[in-house]
Amino acid sequence: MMMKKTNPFAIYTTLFLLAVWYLTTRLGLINPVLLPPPGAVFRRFLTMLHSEYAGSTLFGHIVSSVRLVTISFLGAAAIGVPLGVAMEHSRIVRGMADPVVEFYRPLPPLAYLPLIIVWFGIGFLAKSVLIGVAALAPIIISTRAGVASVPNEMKHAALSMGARKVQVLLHVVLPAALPEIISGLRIGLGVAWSTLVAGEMVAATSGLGHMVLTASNYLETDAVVLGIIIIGIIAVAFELAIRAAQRKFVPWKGKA
Amino acid sequence: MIDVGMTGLSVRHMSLEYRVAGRPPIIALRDVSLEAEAQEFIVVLGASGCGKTSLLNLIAGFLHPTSGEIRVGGKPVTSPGADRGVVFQRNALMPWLNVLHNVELGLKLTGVPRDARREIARRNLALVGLADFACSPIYELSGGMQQRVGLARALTCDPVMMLMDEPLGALDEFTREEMQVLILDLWARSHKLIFMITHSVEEAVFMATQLIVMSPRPGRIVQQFRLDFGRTYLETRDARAVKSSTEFIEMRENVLDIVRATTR
Ligand SMILES: Nc1ncnc2c1ncn2[C@@H]1O[C@H](COP(=O)(O)OP(=O)(O)OP(=O)(O)O)[C@@H](O)[C@H]1O
Ligand SMILES: [Mg+2]
Repeated sequence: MMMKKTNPFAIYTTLFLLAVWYLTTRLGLINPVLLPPPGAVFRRFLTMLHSEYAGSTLFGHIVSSVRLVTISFLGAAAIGVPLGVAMEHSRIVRGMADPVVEFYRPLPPLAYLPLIIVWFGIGFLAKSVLIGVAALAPIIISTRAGVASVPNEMKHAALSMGARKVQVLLHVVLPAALPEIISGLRIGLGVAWSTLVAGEMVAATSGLGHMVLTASNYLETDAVVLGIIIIGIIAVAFELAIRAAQRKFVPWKGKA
Repeated sequence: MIDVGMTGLSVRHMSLEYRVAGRPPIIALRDVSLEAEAQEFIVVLGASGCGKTSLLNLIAGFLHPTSGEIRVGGKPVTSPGADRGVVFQRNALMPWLNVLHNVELGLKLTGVPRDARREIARRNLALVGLADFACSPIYELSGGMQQRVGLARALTCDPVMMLMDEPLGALDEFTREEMQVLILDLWARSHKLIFMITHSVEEAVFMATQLIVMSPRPGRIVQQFRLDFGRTYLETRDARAVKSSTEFIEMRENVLDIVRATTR
């Protein structure tokens, strides 16, 4: 298999942006409160490794956010995939779930956050419900699309080898839909992560979103920028992890 | 009429209508009857849209007739089953399984123990000349090789009959001729009843013991022939000689005329 080589222009652009950041702040072209120099952000990073800021060390914030998003995302996957499959197989399930999903799917999660706070408070539960609900929609939709696109011939082939209906589901429909299910999980994880940061800005006592918001309240932009960079790096790490899962579990994608 | 008894295929007065809401029903097949003994090689030929695939799907049990009856080995067909192996035009192999796992899938699903099913699957792969590719992923095989895996898979549950919908339609001319003789050999060795659809008149005349020509709107059988060019090939092992013999050419032109007449 061919590995994709990194596009050199991506590297040039990154270096260029870092250089612009360094020079503009170094030459005093920008007020450091608006944009702190890279050195200040790095110093903030070093201090936050051991001392607390906004209630916790940097590591503490990261663990808090990642744990919350992982649990909520796994919950959403555990509900979304079976529900998506059931919606394609049963008219009754589809009729019951479709209006709900179609209605809330386009809503921005922050629009129903207040309601979730009223119902579940501002603790772990409230945030995991918020994140889980937001991640659920893309997972359901991709699972349905995957199940619907399984060629009839594949199911027929299994039936004429003596498979029972349940076996067709387990041995044909699910594996055949797996590429799209994983795509849905990928989108869902992205949605979960952005919803998490937004949710932590409104209702939290720890986590990266909480850290960034606290820092911005005190105009400590070096901590804000640090938070943004960490949030971005973790998002990329999630993306890479799912792509690795894709290569491992659906090596046939695009080849069959 | 021959007595197909407990082993053959019997289709009696079968009709099929597709009903689509808001439109008049499409009569895909009208009053189709055919009988074949075990070990026959039925080939169905006809213009596009004359109901060949519909007929195959009915025999496979994927569809239910509007009226009429189908029996395979004496038993009425009500649903798909392991007694009728199917080879699809676009092979319909499972890309997440390697060659061997594809071939043994049916046995696995019906609870045959691992070692036993491996042995059967390997034997069938050897029959189609793919013994060395057992561990290859499907998507690394050529179209012709994939179609052979499809054949081996259909053989593995040891069906009474094999149903093939244009199994060679997507192959180039050379691979196609290779596959024709491979299928004839499999047929001779396994003593199965074969029901094959093709668009190629030459292929049909070469392989069939019973050639069925169908005509569209509504789909029906217009002519049946009993042939033995395939058996001649199996005795002489010279496909070119068979296909260039005068009898063969005469029959081919004759069938071609009939097919042409149905499309006018
Ligand atoms: N699912 C369906 N719903 C409605 N009409 C159908 C359906 N499947 C087939 N038909 C119609 O039934 C007729 C026979 O179709 P069928 O696929 O059996 O033909 P065929 O002989 O296999 O054609 P081809 O050689 O192109 O494969 C056609 O007129 C087709 O439009
Ligand atoms: Mg067809």
